[in-house]
Amino acid sequence: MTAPSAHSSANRDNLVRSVAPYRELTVAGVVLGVAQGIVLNVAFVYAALKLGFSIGGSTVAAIMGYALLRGVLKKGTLVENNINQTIASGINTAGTGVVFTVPALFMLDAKWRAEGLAGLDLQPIPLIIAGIAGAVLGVVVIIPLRKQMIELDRLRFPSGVATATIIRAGSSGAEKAWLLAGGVLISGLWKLVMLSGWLESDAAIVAERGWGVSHEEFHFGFGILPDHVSPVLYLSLMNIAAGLLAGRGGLPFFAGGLVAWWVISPAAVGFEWVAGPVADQSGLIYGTMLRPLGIGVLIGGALMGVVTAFPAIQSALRSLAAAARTAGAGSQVGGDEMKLPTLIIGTLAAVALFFGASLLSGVSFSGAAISAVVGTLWLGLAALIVAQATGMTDISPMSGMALISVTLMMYLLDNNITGAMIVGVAVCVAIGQGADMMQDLKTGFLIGARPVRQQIVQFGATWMGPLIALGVIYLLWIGGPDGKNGFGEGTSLPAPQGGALMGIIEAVKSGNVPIDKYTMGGVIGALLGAAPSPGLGVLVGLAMYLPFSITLGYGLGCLAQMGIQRAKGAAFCEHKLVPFAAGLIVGEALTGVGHAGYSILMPYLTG
Amino acid sequence: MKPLQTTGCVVFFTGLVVSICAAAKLPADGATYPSTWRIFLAFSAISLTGLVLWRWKPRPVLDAASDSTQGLDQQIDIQGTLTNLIQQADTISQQQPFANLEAIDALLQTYVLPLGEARQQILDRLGLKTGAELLVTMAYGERMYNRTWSALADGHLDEAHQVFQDGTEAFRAAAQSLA
Repeated sequence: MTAPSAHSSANRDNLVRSVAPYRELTVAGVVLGVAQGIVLNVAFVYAALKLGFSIGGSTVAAIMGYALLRGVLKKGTLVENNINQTIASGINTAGTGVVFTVPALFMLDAKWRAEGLAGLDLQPIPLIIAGIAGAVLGVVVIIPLRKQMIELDRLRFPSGVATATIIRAGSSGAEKAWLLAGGVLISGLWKLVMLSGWLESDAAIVAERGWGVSHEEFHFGFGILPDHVSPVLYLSLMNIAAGLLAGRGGLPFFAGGLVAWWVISPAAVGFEWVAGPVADQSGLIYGTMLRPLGIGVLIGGALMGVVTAFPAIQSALRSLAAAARTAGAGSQVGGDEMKLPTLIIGTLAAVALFFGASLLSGVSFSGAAISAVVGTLWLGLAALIVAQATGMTDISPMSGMALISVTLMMYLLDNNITGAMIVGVAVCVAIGQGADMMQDLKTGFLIGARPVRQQIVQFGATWMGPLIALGVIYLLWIGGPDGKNGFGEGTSLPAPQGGALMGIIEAVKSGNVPIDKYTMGGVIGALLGAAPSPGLGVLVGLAMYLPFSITLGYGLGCLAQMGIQRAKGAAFCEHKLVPFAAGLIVGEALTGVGHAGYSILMPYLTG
Repeated sequence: MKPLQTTGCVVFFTGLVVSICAAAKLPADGATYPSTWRIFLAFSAISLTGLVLWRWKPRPVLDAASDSTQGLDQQIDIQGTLTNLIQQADTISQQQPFANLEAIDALLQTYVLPLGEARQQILDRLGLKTGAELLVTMAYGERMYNRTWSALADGHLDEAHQVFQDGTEAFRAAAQSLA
C-alpha cells in the first residue's frame, strides 16, 4: 500500500506556515473547556446525588462552547469547539464515576456509627489517588483502540454523533449563552428562595390542612388524596430541567415512580400489608417495601445490562485481538495518535498510583499488589466493554460494573470495604473516561479533528474530575447538620446509586439485609433489563428508590418537553430548551454547593 | 409494532406489575419470603413469556431465487467507487473558488460513506491485515474530507483546500493498493 506522497506532506507543511493557522488546540478552547468541565462536574455531581443518574455533558459543553467561542470571542472554529467539549466532558464524566461509589462510604460510616458500631476509616487521599489513577488508566487503555472501534468497526456512538451534529449546526451562539445565563439566574434565585424558607410552613400545619410547602416540597393532597399516594412535588427547577433534557426517553423513570406510589402503595394499604397508624403508613411503605425493592430492581437491572451487553463484550474481545493484528495499519497516513511510549508511561504511573492508593487505605502490601494488578486488568476489560457497549447502544452498564467490582474486590481483599472501594472508584472513573474518550473521538472524526490533540487534552485534564467531584461530595456531606449527613436518606440529596452500593456492601459483610426484597427485586430488574428498551431496569429501580416528589418533578419535565416539542418542533428544543434547561441545572447546583460551603464557613466567619 | 409483539408487551408489563406488587409484601416474622411468593413466581413467569413474545423476531423468509449475498451487506464495486471518487475530487480541487459545503457533502454521501459501509466486504476480500490497512487509509481520507467541511464552514479556505488534497491522496493510495 502506498501512503499519501511525501510531496503532499511537504506541501502541507509549507501551507501551514504560510497561512493563518486554523484554530484547534488553543488557549481559549482549553481554558473554556476546563472552566465548563469544572462547572458541569459540580452541577452534575449534585444532580446525580439527587436523581441517581448523570446527564451527558458533551452536548451542553458543545452548545456553550460555540456560544462563548463564536458568540463572545467571535473567532471559534468547529474543531476548536471539539477540543473544548472533549476537555469539559472528560472532567465532568470523571465525576460520575466518583458520585456512583464514594457516597456509599460516607453513608455507611454514618449508619454504622449511629448504630454504635465501629465506623470506617475514611481517608480522602487514597480515594483521590484512586480516582486520578482510574481517570488516567481509562484514557490510556482506550486510546490504542480508536482505529479499531471508530475506523474499522465503525461503531455508531450515538451521543458522539449527536454532539458532532450540534457542533456542525452551531450558530446563534450569543442567544444560547443568554438562554443559559437566564436559566442559571432563575434557578439560582429560586433555590435561594427555597433555602431562605420564605415559602415554608410548619410541617404539622401542612399535614393538617393538606397543602403547603414543607422541606422544599409542595404538598397537594388537599385532604382528598391520601398520604400513601405521596401527593408531593419537590420544588426543584433542576429536577424539572433534567426531565426537560430527557423528554420521552425519561418516561420509564417516571413510570417507575407511578407504579411504586400509585399501584404498589395503594395495594399494600388495600390488602392491609402495613400495620400501625395511618400517618406512619407512607413512611413504612417507603422504608420497608419500595426502597429495598428498588435496590433489588436496580441491581438486577444493572447486572442484566452487563448480560445484554454480551454481544458488545464479544465484539470488544474481537476488537482487542484484531487491534493487536492491525496495530500498524495506517501508520503512515494516520500518524495523528498519541505515541505508544507515552501510553505505556501513563499506564505504569497509574498502576503505581493504584498500588499506592490501596496501600494508603490500610490494605496490606500483598493486598495492594492484588488491587493494583487485578484492579488494572479488570478496569481495562471493563473500560473496553463499556466503550463497546456505548458505541453500539449508547447505554453504559456503569452501575453494574461498579457493583461487580466492589463485590469482587471485597471477596479478594477479605471484606476490606475501603480497599474494595478504592478499586470500585478507579474502575467506575476509568470506564466512564474510556466511554467518554471514544464518544469524543467519534465526534472528532466526524468533524475532522486531529485525534492526538483530543487525546492530549483529555490526558492532561482528566485528573481534575475526581478531585473536584470528591471535593463537592465532601463539601455537601459536611454541609449537613452537625457536619455530616449532608446527603442520603431523608435529605434533599438521596444519593440512590450510593445507597444501592451500600446495600450490597452490607449484604456481603453482614448478611443482615432484606433478602426477599433484593432477590425478588433482582428478578424484576433482570426482566426489565432484558426488555427491548435498554436501561429500563436501572431507571425503574432508581425511581422506586427515590421519593416520589423527585420522580414526579422529573416526569413533569419530560411531559413538558414532549408538549413543547410537539408545539414548537425539535429544532426549538435543541436550540432554545436545551441551553435554558442546562442553565436551570447549573444554577441550582452552584447555589446548593455554594450554600453548603457558606454553612461550613459561617461559624468561622461569625467567630 | 406487530400484533404478536404488542401482545407480548402488554403481557410483559401486566405480569410485571402484579409480580412487583406481590414482591412488596413483607415476610411474616421468622420467614425469609412473603406469603405472596407463589403469586410473584407465577406472574414473573407470565411476564417472561410476554418478554419472549415481545422480543420475538421471525426469521426472514429467503426467496430461493434471490441472491444470497444480497440483503444486509450490499456488495459495491469498491475499485469503481474509488475511481469515481478520485475523479470527482480532482474536479472539485480545480474549481475556482474552491468547493462549497454542498459539494463536499455530496462527495461524502455518494462515495465515501458507501465505502465505509462496505467494510466487511473489504475484509472478506483482502483479509484482516491488508483490509484493515485499506480501511484505515480510507478512514483517514474521510476524516480529512470532514475537516474540509469544517474548515469551509469556518471560512478557512486555505485549510480546507490543503486537507482536501490530503484526503484525496489517501483515497488515491487506497485505489493504488487495490489495483
